[in-house]
Amino acid sequence: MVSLHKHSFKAMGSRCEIQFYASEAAASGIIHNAVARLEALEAKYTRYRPKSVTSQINRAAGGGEPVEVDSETAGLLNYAQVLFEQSDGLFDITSGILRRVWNFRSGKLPEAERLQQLLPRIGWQQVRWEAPYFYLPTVGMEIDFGGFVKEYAADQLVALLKAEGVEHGLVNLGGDIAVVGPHPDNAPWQVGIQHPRKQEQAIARIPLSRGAIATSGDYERFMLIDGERYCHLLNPRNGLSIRPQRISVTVIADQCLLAGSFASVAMLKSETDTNWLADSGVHYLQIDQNLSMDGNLVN
Amino acid sequence: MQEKKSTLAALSSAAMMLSGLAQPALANPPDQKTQIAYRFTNYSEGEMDAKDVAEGSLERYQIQVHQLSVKTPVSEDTEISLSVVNETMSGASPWYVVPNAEGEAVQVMSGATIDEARNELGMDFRSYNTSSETTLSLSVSAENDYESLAFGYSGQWRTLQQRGTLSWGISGSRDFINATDANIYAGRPVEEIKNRLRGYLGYSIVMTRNRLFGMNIGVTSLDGYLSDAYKLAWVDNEIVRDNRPDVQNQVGGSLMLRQFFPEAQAALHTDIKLYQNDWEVTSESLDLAWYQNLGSKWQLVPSLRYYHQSAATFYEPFYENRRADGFYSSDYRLSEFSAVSARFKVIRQWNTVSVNLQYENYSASGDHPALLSYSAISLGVGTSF
Repeated sequence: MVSLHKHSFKAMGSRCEIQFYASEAAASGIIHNAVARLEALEAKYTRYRPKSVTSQINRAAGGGEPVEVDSETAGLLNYAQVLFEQSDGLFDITSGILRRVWNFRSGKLPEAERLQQLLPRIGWQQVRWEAPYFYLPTVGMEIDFGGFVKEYAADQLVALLKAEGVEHGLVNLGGDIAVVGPHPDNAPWQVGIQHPRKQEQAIARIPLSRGAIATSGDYERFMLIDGERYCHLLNPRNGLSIRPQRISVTVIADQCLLAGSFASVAMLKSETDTNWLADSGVHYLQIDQNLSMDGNLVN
Repeated sequence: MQEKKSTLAALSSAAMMLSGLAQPALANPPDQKTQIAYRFTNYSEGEMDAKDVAEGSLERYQIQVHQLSVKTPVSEDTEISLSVVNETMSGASPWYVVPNAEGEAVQVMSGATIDEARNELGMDFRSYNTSSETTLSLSVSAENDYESLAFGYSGQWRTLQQRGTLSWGISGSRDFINATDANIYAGRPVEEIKNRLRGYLGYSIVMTRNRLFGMNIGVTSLDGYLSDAYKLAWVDNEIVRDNRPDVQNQVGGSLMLRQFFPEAQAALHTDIKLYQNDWEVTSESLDLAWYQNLGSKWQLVPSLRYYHQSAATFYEPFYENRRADGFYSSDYRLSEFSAVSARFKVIRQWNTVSVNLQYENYSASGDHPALLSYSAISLGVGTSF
């Protein structure tokens, strides 16, 4: 007897949920394997554990010895390189150290001097990457896969569910959603898009039968200072919070990794290029400061 | 506009590479887990046909085997495995062959029922990193008339971004033979030694997501006491000791293909093996196994193996005339025969525990009266955490 199983849990700092149709007998094993895979990915790439690949790479910064990485990490580093190039340097996995001066709960802007001290340690163009050897040339430089590892993990869980024989299901890792397949009656999943200005409210619902969907917005982390909104999207070149013309971008693509990357880059780009997604080949929905929507997903 | 489409192409291809690399089929990561496994096997050799037996018991060996193994990580990149085997056997064994009144070969079985036990202790020390690994193995085996010390050193080296695996290994053993009742049966060997040295090289490659191909070639050299301490041969009305050359060189190769069928959630494992030694025994075998997953908990594995070998150059069931070289063996294992083995295995997986049950039926056919048939049933339990 095949029925819908839902399992919610916390991983990668987000609320996660998998939903799928399977027999009672198979469900607990599938959940176990999916959670184990996600935990393994988190343990491998988190900044918070000293044994993670990320920590090993960061510890070796400036020490003269490159780090030999495994093939999965090499794939992620290659992806980071392409993302850096395609975003004209706006999406940079070495920019994570800016969090040391940007505290969005403090209500204070970073001190200019401390910001200036960090900037020389940011820049993917400085890293030495010749697979399988990766090296950060300056002490204090860091990389952080947080910008896309959750989306990658969503794709990995879809692959795992398919390998377990699941045909109908969905993976939701903190709003990054990847679909295994529609409901057994072919009905699509209904995915709510977070209202950028009203918490816990959806501004739109999008039916999704396959592929993946990801949203990036200025509302995820921000602070208001003197009526000015400073969002968590930072420009790696000057370390400053960008002023996006779009407040939310949702992208549908074959893989969650792609959807997430396009949504993030579109937000970063929107400071200067409000229509970067036009003709990009992906389906998207973007919301501007006046809460009006456009994109090839609305009509 | 053109430029933006290229963004999708560039990111898609990088993402595609990434999802391809992370396929479970490609990875062979050390799991840093502790594993404990136990297996019990009961072999029951088929009874001899009365018309093939000149003298002695029709019943052959019953063998019970207990195997326990424990694997545990020692550090981040090493692990140690320990294994213990206890084997007890009882029954009669083929002794020598004589011609009956019609000149047909009939078997004389060992008189008394034999009770024997063998114990083996093994240790593997494995050291690995993301692209290679090596294993040092040591083992010792003892029974009342036979002791064996063995070592092995083997490794794997992964290439082509983990898609290819080069395997290599060398191993050797020294066996000490002290036949029982040597004071009663003149000529039974005491303090004899047998040495074995082996090397192999293999390569396997993941051809597509669903197909793995591999090949392997190995050479083995044996020297010392290679005869059977207890077997005799009938030579022109005289009974002489089994006597074989004291050197044997072997070469063997194998090809394997693993094809996964995603829609059926099943895999076909095909193995072909060829072997030859300088006693002119050549053998060929074909092994087909179907691994059928049923959901994520059950696996059924029916398999079939066909084996054929030619006889050793000096083998005869019995000898009408003396041989100039003095080599005599009427051991059925050196005769020409074909064998078919059918197996069925069921595996049930819980979260951390796996149980499997296997039944095997083996049957050989050829001219020797003592060719073996057996059935074996085995139950295994394993857990990892």
